[in-house]
Amino acid sequence: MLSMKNLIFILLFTVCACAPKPNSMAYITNQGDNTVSVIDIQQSKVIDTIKVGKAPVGVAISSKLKRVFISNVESNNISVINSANNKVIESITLQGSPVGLAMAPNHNTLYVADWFSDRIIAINTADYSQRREVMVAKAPAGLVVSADSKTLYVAARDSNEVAVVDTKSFAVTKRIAVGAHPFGLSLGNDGTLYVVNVYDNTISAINTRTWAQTQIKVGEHPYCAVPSADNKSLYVTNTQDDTVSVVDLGSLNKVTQQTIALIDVGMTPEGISYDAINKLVLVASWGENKVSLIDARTNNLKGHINTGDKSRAFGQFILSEH
Amino acid sequence: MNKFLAMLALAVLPNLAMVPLAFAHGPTPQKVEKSIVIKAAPAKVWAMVKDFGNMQAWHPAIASTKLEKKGDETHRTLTLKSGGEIHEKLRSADDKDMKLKYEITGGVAPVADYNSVMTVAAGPGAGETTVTWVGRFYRTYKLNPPIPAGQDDETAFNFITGVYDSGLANLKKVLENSK
Repeated sequence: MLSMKNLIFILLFTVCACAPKPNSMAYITNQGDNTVSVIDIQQSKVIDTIKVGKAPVGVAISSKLKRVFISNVESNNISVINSANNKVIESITLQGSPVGLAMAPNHNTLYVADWFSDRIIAINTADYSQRREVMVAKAPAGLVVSADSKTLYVAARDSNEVAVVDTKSFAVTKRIAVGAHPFGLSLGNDGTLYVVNVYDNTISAINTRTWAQTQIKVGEHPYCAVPSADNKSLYVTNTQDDTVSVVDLGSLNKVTQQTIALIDVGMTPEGISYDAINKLVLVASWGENKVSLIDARTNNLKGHINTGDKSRAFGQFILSEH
Repeated sequence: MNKFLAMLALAVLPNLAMVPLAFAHGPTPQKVEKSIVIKAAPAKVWAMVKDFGNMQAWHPAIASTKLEKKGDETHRTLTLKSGGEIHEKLRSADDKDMKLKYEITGGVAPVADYNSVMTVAAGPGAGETTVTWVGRFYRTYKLNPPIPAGQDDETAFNFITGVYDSGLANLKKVLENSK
């Protein structure tokens, strides 16, 4: 017999299950122990640890498809995780060494940077056997796709350029000279492309309509950058200063972008993503096996969450559930 | 077996000709982290660690150290007892945090893009000091796998592990035996 108390409990539970509070999950690749740590950001804790391939680096996520893609550079494959239960459901084998990953905003295509072969592989998310390829330039690393899914940007680290790829013809349509050793890439929702120049300690901010480029000075050996959702701040990991630079972006046409905060995080910060739901910036610390949380409203360090060995989280690694 | 290796070499050679080696390194960095507790005051330990031009005073593999100023930069050349040199550049020596940062710029160490931090901190016990040595680096082989022996992750990792283990053990010995 159902007691009144149990009935209320069941009713409450049903209501909660139907209308979950919006939350975000972070998928952190741990190079050293071949795992992915899944962080429930509201709870500030690791809720799952998933075994993947060898030396995982890159992350790309489709919230619509409920899929998380992980590049395993040393085992030449991509692990496909079902985000509904955090299980690896498939492994996509490649003739190459996948590093950077990006998901098209229309969820139709996963882009893979093949580090040693200087090419990009486009994988149809409805049928992983349907693939296209394009040669870009030397050591492709960071990838990002425009909001309309029509353009793919590729940081070619050893060519010191960004290759612009038309996703329909899958051909390089433009090459933009940037600083030395470009690695991470991100896009503001105003269309500004941010390129991290590792050897120059700078960011190239590129207007993707006019191709006007400005350089922003940051810390030592920067790897990755992410703008806030309102495009007011850019967060940059300085791998050899163990800090995150917060750059005031001001207006798009403003030439001198200033660093307004320098936040001490874990040693060798690499991947960085912005969580719009919780207004947090998450930073993976390769050197200290943890993720640092920065409050984007105050630019103060909020705390750390221990992850796995040598966390990298290269790419957009946050899954938001609305 | 030999036939197979010869074929492998032939397969690798065309790539060698095409790829410039100047800036490239592989996609997977390696890390070695070691620490040791020394019965000596932190200031005394830090004085020895930060003395960039006298590494032979505590590292048993080093025969001599030559310090050079190049403009604003400080460089050193380490001559190894086993022969060969390692060239290094000082990045910072922070007295407040007792932190020394340097990088390898050339020489015989089988690593690429090596940078390192040595940190000196008081504790864990009274009159004790902990020295932590962390290195981040890549293997020297920069092309497509297969990776030749001697240029792989394991070679790089074992070399740095050996440098840190022997160096820290002798740093402790030298400091604890000196007055």
